Amino acid sequence: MTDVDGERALARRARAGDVEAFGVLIERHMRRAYVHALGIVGSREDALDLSQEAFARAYRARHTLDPDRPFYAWLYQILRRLCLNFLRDAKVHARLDAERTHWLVSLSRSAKADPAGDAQREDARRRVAAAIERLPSREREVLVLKEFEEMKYREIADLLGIPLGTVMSRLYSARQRLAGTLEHLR
Amino acid sequence: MSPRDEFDLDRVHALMMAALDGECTDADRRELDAQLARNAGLQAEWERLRRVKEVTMTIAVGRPPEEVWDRYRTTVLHRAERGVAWFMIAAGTAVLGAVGLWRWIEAWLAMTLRWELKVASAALLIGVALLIVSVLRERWHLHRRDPYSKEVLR
Repeated sequence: MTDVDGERALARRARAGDVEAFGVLIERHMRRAYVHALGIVGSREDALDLSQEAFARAYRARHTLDPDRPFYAWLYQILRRLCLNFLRDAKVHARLDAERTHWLVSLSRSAKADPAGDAQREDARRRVAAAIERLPSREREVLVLKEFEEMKYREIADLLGIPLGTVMSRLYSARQRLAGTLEHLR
Repeated sequence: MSPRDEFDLDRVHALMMAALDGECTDADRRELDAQLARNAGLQAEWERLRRVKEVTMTIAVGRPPEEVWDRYRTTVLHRAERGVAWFMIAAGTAVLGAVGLWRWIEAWLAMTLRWELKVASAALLIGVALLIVSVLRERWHLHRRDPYSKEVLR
């Protein structure tokens, strides 16, 4: 049985109310649901909470699940709607701005003994990470899917239900903003 | 993507993105290189974007500790369960409230409402009216004075 068939069988069982099958689907997709929520809302605690809420709502709405279509695409629509509604609240904006959490981390350090270069690279990383966290949510969402989830343009376009050109133009806008933060670091 | 003679900035930007992300064909790459070769401004922009890509490749999303994932599934299923409980509570309350209201209206119309219920009803109606007036006044006040009433962009 292929992965797709396995997922389809799980979705079919989950739709019929099989908690165990739904639990397996949660375990398969919880990590990326969290990262995708993080990409939209930009706060770790809220991303965790919203991704869990999305699964809970998905379970309650399981009768609308089409087992022949990818489970995650269906879940993502629920998750995205939840995140965007969450961001629409002006109080949430104020709180997110006040307690901006640092959810991006440095991946690598140079193996070479180059303290000055290391410091500059670390500075660049810190600036870009902070700028990513401040991006408009529409741009950040696409950037996170591309850079940190390593999804193809076509996959992103399908997941978000937007044209391929829009994916690229949002990426371009996001990267232009990030480039601005590196301007004086030459 | 076919090469074009005219300068199409959106297309060049799209080509830049595709080249940065390894999603362009050889023909796209040749087209981009040709554009960059004849425009110093685009070349400078390309270098800036390349630098951004290099930096973002050294950044990752911080993941929660493993124990969070251990609890994740249970938390979701409990939430789903509680959702059903809240729905039933809300539905039960709505039905009981509607029946109570109906009985209250019947008794009110038949003038058979006991005096203590009349006092409680009057208090309830006055309270609700005061609350509505207060909320509306606050909204009106805020609407006139709040400089941030338009959408706040992050």
